[in-house]
Amino acid sequence: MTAVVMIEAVVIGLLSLLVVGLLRSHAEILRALHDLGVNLDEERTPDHTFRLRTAGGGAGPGSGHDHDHEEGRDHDDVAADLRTPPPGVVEAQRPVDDPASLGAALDLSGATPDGEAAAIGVVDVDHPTLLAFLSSGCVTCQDFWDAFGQGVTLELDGREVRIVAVTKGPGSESPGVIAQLTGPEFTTLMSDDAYDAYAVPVSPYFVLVDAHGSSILGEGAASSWAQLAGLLDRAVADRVSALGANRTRREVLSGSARQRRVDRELDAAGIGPDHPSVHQR
Amino acid sequence: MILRAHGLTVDVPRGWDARIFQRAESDVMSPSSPDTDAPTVPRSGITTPVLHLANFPLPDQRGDYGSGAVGLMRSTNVFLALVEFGPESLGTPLFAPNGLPRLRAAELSETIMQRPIAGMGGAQRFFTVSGRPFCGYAVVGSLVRRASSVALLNGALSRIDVAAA
Repeated sequence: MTAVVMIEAVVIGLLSLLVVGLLRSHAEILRALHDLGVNLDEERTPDHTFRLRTAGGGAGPGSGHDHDHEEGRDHDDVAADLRTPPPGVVEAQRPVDDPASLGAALDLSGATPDGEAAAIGVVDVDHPTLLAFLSSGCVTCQDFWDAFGQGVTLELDGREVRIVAVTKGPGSESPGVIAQLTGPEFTTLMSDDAYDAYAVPVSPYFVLVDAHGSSILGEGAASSWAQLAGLLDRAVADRVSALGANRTRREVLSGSARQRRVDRELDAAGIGPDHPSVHQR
Repeated sequence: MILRAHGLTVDVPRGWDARIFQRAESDVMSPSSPDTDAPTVPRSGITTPVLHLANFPLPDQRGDYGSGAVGLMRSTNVFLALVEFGPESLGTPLFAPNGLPRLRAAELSETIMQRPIAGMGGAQRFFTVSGRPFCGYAVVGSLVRRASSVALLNGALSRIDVAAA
């Protein structure tokens, strides 16, 4: 009997060690995700800063995001919430507080697949611009060609984002092949100069340029539509973060930092909860 | 940014879109007149270079005079087309004015538009520059803003250079 109890105690001890190990591993995963900007316990709010929609109202092909079925939210054209970026995004490295370190955007010039000489305005325009550096040969680019061709559109701060697909010039890409990939919903430019100007390391590669200036909000490589969505969402959150003090992503999205700041400034001015001005009608 | 093609050069204003193109001609040839000895011409007609300049995103599908693009314009937008004509137009009274034109706000009118759109206005000039006959066609997104819009158009016109034929 004593032997059975001892064996049972040893087994229970081993199982306890296993559970502790699993919990530690889980905590490390959560910490790593948090460092990447993913907060799994973050409450979803109805505030849409960056939205993805398609002409037909469906999610973009290859999207890893679920359709928006929450009650009380705007269902007009919202197909996916880009608030939670998936892991695996290869982003350009930069300090959050200094988006200018990504450099300034430049207008583009090159040729269209139809052979037109073309200049594309990117700087000081009244809409954000997504430059999608794609090629006809890479398999992962095909999802983006398909998505853009099917009318996937992006919005940032309520403004439609102009999508410009950029390939290498006619010396490296076949205009006939690119003409078959392009569509009326987006602009296509063939330009070696554009690849050089933006120092594009690989295809597919994406650069999001803000409206009314030349600020690059974010850039990086993404191999799937879901990763692109995460990349853009992250860039937008970083921009908001850069506008204020060093705030966490959660604070930016929830507005909790603003409430604390207001309380702090009211305290500094000598206005507390009992101050008469708070109760004036 | 400099854009150059078909003997047309434009220093594109910052943030503007521009295209220079010449449409493909049909390979099918037809007699130019009922006479049996008449020279043949492409069934599509003879095409000539076209320049489009706009301070808004130009769509891929556009007519020579901006159909497909003009309908997308907002009140602050301007559109400019330079359409070259064939050598048969050279020396005709219509194309007598020499050099790129300078537009006046007063000449912008809704009735001059290829397809009138309420509130918008257009202007059209025929001229010859560097021995090449052109039609210049401009559209403003709002006649109310015609003074500032015509300044944008004249600024764009001053950035165009036409090489001799």
